[in-house]
Amino acid sequence: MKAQLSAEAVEFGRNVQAAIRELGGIDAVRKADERPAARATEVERVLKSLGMWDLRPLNDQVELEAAAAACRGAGWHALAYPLAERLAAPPEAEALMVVGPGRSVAPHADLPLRWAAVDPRGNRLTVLRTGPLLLTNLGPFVAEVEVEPRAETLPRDTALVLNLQIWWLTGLLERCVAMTRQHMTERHQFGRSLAVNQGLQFMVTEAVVAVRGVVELAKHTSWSISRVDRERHWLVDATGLRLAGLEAAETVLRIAHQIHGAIGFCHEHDLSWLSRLSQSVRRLPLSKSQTEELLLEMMTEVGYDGIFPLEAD
Amino acid sequence: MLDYEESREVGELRLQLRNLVRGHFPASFLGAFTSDPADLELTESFCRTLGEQRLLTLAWPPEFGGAGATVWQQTALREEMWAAHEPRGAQYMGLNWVGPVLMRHGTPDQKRRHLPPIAEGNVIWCQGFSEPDAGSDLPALATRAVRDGAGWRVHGQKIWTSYAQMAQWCFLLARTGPVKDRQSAITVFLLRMDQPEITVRPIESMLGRHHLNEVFLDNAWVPDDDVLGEVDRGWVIVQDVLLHERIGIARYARCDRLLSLAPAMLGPAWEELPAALRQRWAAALVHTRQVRMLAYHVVDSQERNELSGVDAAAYRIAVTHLDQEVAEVLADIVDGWSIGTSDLSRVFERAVEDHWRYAQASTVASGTTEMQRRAVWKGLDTE
Repeated sequence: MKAQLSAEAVEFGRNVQAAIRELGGIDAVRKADERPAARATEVERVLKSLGMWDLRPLNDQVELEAAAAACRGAGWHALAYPLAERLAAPPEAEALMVVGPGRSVAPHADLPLRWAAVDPRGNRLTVLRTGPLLLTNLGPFVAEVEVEPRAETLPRDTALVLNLQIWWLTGLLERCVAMTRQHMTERHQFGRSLAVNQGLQFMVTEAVVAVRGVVELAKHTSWSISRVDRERHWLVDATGLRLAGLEAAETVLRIAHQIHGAIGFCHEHDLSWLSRLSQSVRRLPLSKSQTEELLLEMMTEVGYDGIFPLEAD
Repeated sequence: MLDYEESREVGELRLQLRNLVRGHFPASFLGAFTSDPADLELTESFCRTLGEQRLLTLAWPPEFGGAGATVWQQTALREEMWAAHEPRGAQYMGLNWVGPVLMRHGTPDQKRRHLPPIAEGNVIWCQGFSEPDAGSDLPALATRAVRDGAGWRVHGQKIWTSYAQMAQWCFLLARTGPVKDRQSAITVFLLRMDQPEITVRPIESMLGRHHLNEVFLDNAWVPDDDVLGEVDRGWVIVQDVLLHERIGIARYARCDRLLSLAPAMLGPAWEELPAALRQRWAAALVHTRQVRMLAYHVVDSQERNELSGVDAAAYRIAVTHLDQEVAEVLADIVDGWSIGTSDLSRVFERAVEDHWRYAQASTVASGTTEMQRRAVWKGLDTE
C-alpha cells in the first residue's frame, strides 16, 4: 500500500499553484469579478503552457493524480475557472458540469466551452442552454443552465469531476488554515499576539484535522476511480468524499471567519473571496443534506467497502 | 503513486486471524475484562495459540523470535485484534511497546529475561506512568527512587494503572533527582509486582474491571539489573514509548466492524429506523474510512521515515473523536438496548453498550486530545 501521490503529480501541482500565483492569485479572482467574460483567456493560456490539456486522467493513474494535485493547487488561489470540470470532460466535450435536482445552475457554465452534463448519480443530461451568470455575492461565477435527461450514463466521469471538485476545495481550505495562522501571528489583542491564545490555537488544530482527513480520503477516492475493477464503488466513493469535503468546509470556514473577525468579511481581505467562492462546490450540485440522502441510497444499493464487508441489499 | 490494494499476504492474515478468533471465542465475547473470569482465561489460552503459530510476535524482528512482518501486516493485526475486542487481553501492551522498547534500550540480560515470556504470552505488564498530580504533565511525577545497596527503593503512588492487579511486572517511571529538574531526573525501572511493599487498589469504573487501579509503592525494591537505560535519562525512553504509541490502538477497526454489522443485525427493523439516523450511520462509515486513511498515511510515512508530528497527532484526535461519534450513532441504532442487558443472545446490542462505555475514555487515555492539539499546533511551525 502507498498513501502518497506520485512525485510527478506533486511537482505538477506545485507548478500549477506557482503559475496561478504569477497570474495574481486571489487578485486574479477580483479582476475576474470585475470582468467575468474575460476571466478565462489568461488562465487557459497559462494552464496550456503547463500541459494541463494533455492530461488524460482516466487513461493513466499518474495523470489522474496530477489532475488532483493541479486542482488542489488551483483551489489554493480559489481559481475562478472550471478546472475540475475541464479535466473530467468526456472525449467529445471540453467540460463536464454536474446539475443537481434543485436549482438548474452550474459553476462557470457561462464560459463558451463544449459542455457535457450529468446528474450526481451519473445519468447523462443534454445541455439545452447555458448562461447568464447569476452575479450574486455568493455565486459570482455560477450560471443558469437548461438540461434534459438522456438515456446514457457516465459514472466514472461523474465520480472524477466530484473528486476533482473536492481536491479544489481542499486547496482552498488549506489556504484558509494558513491564512488564519498568519493572522494569529500578526494580530495583537490585549497586548499580545493572538497566536499565544490556546483557545484559538485549539480551534486551528480542529481545522487542520478536518482538512487532513479530507486529503487522505480524496487520495483514496482518486485511487478508486483510477481502478477499472472498482466500477461499482466509483460513485459511492465520490459521494462519500463530497460529504466529508462539505463537512470540512463548514468547520474550516467557521473557524477562519471567527478568528479573523470583521475583516474576514470584507472584500479587501482574501478570506472573503475564499469563503464566497467555496460556496459553488458546497451548495452545488447537491446541498449537504441532499448529499447525505444520496450517500445512504448508494450505500444501500452497492455497499461501501471497509475492513469488514457491508453487503448491499 | 497511490495504492490501497491490500496484498494477498495481508488478506490471508486477516482470514487466519478471523478464523482463529471465531474458533476460540463465543460470539458474545467482549474482551478479557468483564465480570466473567472465563473471558480472561480464554484470552490467556488464545495467546498461547497465537504464540504457537508465531502470531503473537508477528511484528517483532526475527532476531527476537518475531516473524518480521511488514508494516501492513502489523496494521492488519492491530485492526483485527481491536475489532475482535482485543482477544489478546492485557498482553497487547507487552507485545506492542514494552517488548520493542526493551529490544532497543535493554541490556542483554534484560532481553534474555524479559523478552521470551512476553513472546510466549506468559507475562502481563502494566504501565506505571500517571500519578495523582502528574497526568498530562508527566514530568511532574513525584514517585521517588532512592539508592539502597545494589538497587533502589521506590516510594510513591501511581494511578489509572490498567491491569495492575494481574500484572507480574510494571514499566515504572520514578524520580531519581529533584522535582525541579523535571524530565532530566527520571529513570525507568522494571518493577516486580509480587512484593509486599506494593499495594494495588482497584478502582471501579464505567470502563469495566481491571482498567483502572491505584498502585501504592512503600519502599518497593528494584535491583540495579532492572534499571532500564541510564539513571536520570529515562525521559529518552519515554519519548520512544510515545513514538511507538503514535499509531496506538486501531479504534477505527471496531467502528468499521460494528457499523458494517448494524443493518444485518437489525434485520427488517433497519428499514424502520428514522432516515436521519441511517444517514448519520452512512456518514459515520465515511468518517471511519477517512480515519483509516489517516492511519495508513501515518503508517506509510513512518515506514519512509517522513512522519510529521502533526499528522500523527491529527490522526489521534480524529480516531478518538470517531470512536465517540460511532458510539453515539450505534447507541441510537439499538435504542433502549444501549443501556445494557444480561441477555447473552443480544450480541450486537451488548457490543454497542461495551463500545460506548469504552469510547468515552478514548479522548483521555494515552495522551488527551488537548495534548494532541498542542502537538499539532507546535508541529505546524516545523512542517
